[in-house]
Amino acid sequence: MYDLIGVLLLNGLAWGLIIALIALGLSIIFGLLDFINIAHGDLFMIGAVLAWTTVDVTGNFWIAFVLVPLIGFAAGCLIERGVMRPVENSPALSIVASFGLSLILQEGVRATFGTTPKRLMDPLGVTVELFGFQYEAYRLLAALIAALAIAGFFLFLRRTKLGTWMRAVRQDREMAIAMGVPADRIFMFTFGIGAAMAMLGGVVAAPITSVEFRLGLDVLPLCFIAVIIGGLGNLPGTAAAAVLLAVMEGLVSAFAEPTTARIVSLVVMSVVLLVRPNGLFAPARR
Amino acid sequence: MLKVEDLHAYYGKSHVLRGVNLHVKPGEAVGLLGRNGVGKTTTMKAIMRLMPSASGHVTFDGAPLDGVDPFRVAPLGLGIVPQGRRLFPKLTVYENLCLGLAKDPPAEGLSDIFARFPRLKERLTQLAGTLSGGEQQQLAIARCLVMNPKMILFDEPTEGIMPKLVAQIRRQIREINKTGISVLLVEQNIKTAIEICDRIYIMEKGEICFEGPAEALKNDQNIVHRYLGVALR
Ligand SMILES: Nc1ncnc2c1ncn2[C@@H]1O[C@H](COP(=O)(O)OP(=O)(O)OP(=O)(O)O)[C@@H](O)[C@H]1O
Ligand SMILES: [Mg+2]
Repeated sequence: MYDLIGVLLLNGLAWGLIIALIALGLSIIFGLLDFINIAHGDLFMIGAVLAWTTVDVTGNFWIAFVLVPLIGFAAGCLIERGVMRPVENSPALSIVASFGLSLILQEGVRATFGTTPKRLMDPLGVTVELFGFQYEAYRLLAALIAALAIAGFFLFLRRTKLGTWMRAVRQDREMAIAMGVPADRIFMFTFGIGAAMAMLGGVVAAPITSVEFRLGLDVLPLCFIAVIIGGLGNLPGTAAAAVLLAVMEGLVSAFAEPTTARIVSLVVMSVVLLVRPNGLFAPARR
Repeated sequence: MLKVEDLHAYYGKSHVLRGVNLHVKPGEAVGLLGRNGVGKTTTMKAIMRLMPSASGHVTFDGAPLDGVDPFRVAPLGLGIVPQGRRLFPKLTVYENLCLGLAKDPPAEGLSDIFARFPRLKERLTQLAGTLSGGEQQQLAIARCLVMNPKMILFDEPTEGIMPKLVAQIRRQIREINKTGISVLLVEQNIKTAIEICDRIYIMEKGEICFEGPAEALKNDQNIVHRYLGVALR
């Protein structure tokens, strides 16, 4: 029994770190551009599909780790220019536009990749014995890669000029421009980074989930819940909330339906919103 | 150094600047006075190309600013110390200070700045939002100077600063001006403006309604009373 819970915790951790990676991408796009990107989950899905395709074409899964985030970055920049920029200053239109993008991405994948869920081979093909179970070593690696990517993202944000500029533009766009910061390019760059993070999440997740065109639908709500529970704009809070939620959903769905697990997440979110409207990790009073 | 011709600007439908004309010669300190809401801040924003609705001509350092990307204005040597200081509260003092530089210099590279603003040196890792009002104003001036500007627009730099520190800021602006940096100063405090500036403009309802040497204002109570509605004590 405790063994099972140990495995569930580990699974939840790996999945939670992947969700955290995606949710951070969602959060910086929202925080900087006030753009609610409904298509963010589908970017994750595209990442997984591209990972599958990479294996299909080259036979090598690891190439996807380099290739797909680069494609994601370029795609993010294009989306910012082509989809987001035209509806800037209109939150309602931005939701419609990104919803449209979401449909295009899903249907595009359905038309080319097909509707059948596909599974990738375990890229490591190694198991380790943990809690008396044979545990796929790749899941541990997935958790590690996601954690490293998250740490890298925070280092980038804190320690580089570009990261400082991203934070500055977010706090006061006009003054940042007056200080010589190219805010428009920062917006594009931020969207690129956010998309790259979602697609990297897709690559990491591809071997431990079934790859199909609806993959993003399940992930997006969880990311939004993580962003809200973590506190809007609180990036470390978002990451922590994502891990907590995934672990919790993993534990609950072992004993009940996955739908029940999602309901629990929503209940938790509602309670957090009632008790701590600024997020679980915000100081109670400011 | 700076020439503004027929500058117009709108907030939505309201026509806030109605043809502002002014100029600042190299090395000169010029004051821009006027009652609340006449458009002084808007003039400065329009000069910095931060008002998308602005029309008219702005020439800086011999080259037109019309059509220049807003973020390229500061690197040309035109800095602003904005009203209300507008620091980035969640960035550290050091991050605020070096924001406009493409690359962060080592702390020694900033020794000139620290010599002028010693209090900042001790607080480099502190969040700017936690500084006192006076320290924030010092940082707002310092982050502008770090970029080696040829001209600085000061928008009410002594607003909300305790009287003891006002004299210090006044002195600093004069010293900055003495190093050859041109100054355009918006002030509510007429005495401060007269003391710092060579020439004064007064604005009313989006237009310049008076121009003259600072001395003239000092000696002519009528102008002050008529345009600013206050007596010069
Ligand atoms: N963001 C804005 N949106 C709409 N109207 C604005 C905005 N900013 C300023 N205004 C209006 O434009 C006019 C000029 O404002 P501005 O800030 O330039 O005045 P000011 O001379 O700097 O005043 P103060 O001495 O109070 O700083 C005012 O009537 C003000 O209400
Ligand atoms: Mg003003």
